[in-house]
Amino acid sequence: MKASNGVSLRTGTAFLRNEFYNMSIYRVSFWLNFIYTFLMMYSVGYVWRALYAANPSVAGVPLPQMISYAVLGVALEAILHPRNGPQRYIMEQVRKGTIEMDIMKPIDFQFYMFAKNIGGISVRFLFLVLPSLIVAFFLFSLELPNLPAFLGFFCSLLFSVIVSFFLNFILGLLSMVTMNIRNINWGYNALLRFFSGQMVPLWIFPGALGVISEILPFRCIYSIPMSIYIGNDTGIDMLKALGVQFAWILVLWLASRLLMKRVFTKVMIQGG
Amino acid sequence: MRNIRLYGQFLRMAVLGKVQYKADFLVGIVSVLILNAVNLSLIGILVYNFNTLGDWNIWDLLFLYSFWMLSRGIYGVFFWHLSDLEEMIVSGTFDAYLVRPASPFLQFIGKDISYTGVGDFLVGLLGFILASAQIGLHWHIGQWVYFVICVLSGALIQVAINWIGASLCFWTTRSNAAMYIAERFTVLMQQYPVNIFGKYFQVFVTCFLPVAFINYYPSVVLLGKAVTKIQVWQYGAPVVAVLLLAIAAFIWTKGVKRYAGTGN
Repeated sequence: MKASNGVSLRTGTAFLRNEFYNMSIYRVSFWLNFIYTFLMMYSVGYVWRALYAANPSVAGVPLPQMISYAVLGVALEAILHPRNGPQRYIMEQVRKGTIEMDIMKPIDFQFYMFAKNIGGISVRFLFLVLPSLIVAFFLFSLELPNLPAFLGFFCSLLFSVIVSFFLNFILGLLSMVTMNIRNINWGYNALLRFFSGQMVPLWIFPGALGVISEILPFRCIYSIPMSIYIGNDTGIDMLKALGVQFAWILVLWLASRLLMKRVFTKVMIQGG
Repeated sequence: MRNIRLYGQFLRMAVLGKVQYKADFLVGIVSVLILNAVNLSLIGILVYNFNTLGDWNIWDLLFLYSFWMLSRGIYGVFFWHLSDLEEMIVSGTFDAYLVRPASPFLQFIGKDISYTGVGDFLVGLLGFILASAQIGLHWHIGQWVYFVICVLSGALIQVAINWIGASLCFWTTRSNAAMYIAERFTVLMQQYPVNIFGKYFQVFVTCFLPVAFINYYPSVVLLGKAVTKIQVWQYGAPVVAVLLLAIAAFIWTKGVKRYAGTGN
């Protein structure tokens, strides 16, 4: 990502504008998405109420916080679900045989994908996540955090978007090699659903599963920002959590650069 | 009669087409198993911590989930590609069915089968055996018959809902986004006993989008989970299935007529 020079930055904003226009075409799908989020936020709240009714003290946090966590997990899906990543676009280009056009563009391929992705995600954040959170605040008892938690949450959410981009981008690169990504995507979605803490918080995972979830990068995507939001990670814990996210960003960035180099040589040799 | 023979032929062709890709078949089944394992483990972790969910223990919930998987498997194998209709209408390939001397629905339904349904069905079967052993079910023949009828009804309810959803694209061209949302919503609903979601929701999934009849009400009846006494309408899954199918067939027929009428 060489966003340092002005050209790249201008290109970036151009993509953002482009994504906005793209999305504003699909008004119906916007409303459907909103209805879906609404129904989900309503129902996860009830699941936790039913669980707490049987046993109020086992989850480690009080019910209102738990509901905030769950509702947030639903709202953030609009930007953090893998279907918003670049892998689908990459796969499509590979299938049509036009991926070289993207690779040969005079900007770095990864930066190009990142700018496109961030464009889409910013639009989705403004028009899907924010309205859902407002609705959740008034209807589904989403609690507001204190200022440090709020700032930490935003920082952490930015990190989680980047982690999720890198993971999705790596999947996209793999699709250039395997030529079929559907099944890999399935597996990835399943892993993410389980180990990201989106639906079920990782701190109630028993024994070995808890340890595995600590090691994997998926908790950077939902669990960390959401734990910070509900005030489960404060002070030094919050900084540590942000550090974990940052470390994963570095690791995944390096890994994706290396992989990209290898995959591109391969694509070129195939005569792409 | 001719239709049944034709459908048999179509299915044979679809199966032969699939058998060519053995690796794809295996990977597909494995990914379905993983997805189900994830869903079940998440519920498992919740109930492991909290013991019960609205008076349903872990085996009751497994029963509920397996019930859904059995019906979903049957629906999935034969009707998963209902969502292909949008693509076929957009690209114009659906038109070919209209000029051939056989029912367009039969041709459309017979064009494909999906093996992911096989995975779902297997998960359902395993889960059902495990859950019923743990719960200690001793059913008489009538209950077994009711169970089988309800699994089939559940499959048909899912067929009907998706059939209606797909048919909408005769009017709107795009309908997959709506179908996707109905699907995600159904997935969430089927994993938990409906009564925990409050009154309004229960009315919604009973009367308007009757997904509660797929597995919840049959399970209530068969496991004796009714709060007071089992109401007559809670036995109604087969009736709901037949009614919904009739509505779906009506909408489809209207849609095909309209589509053919405007010269697309």
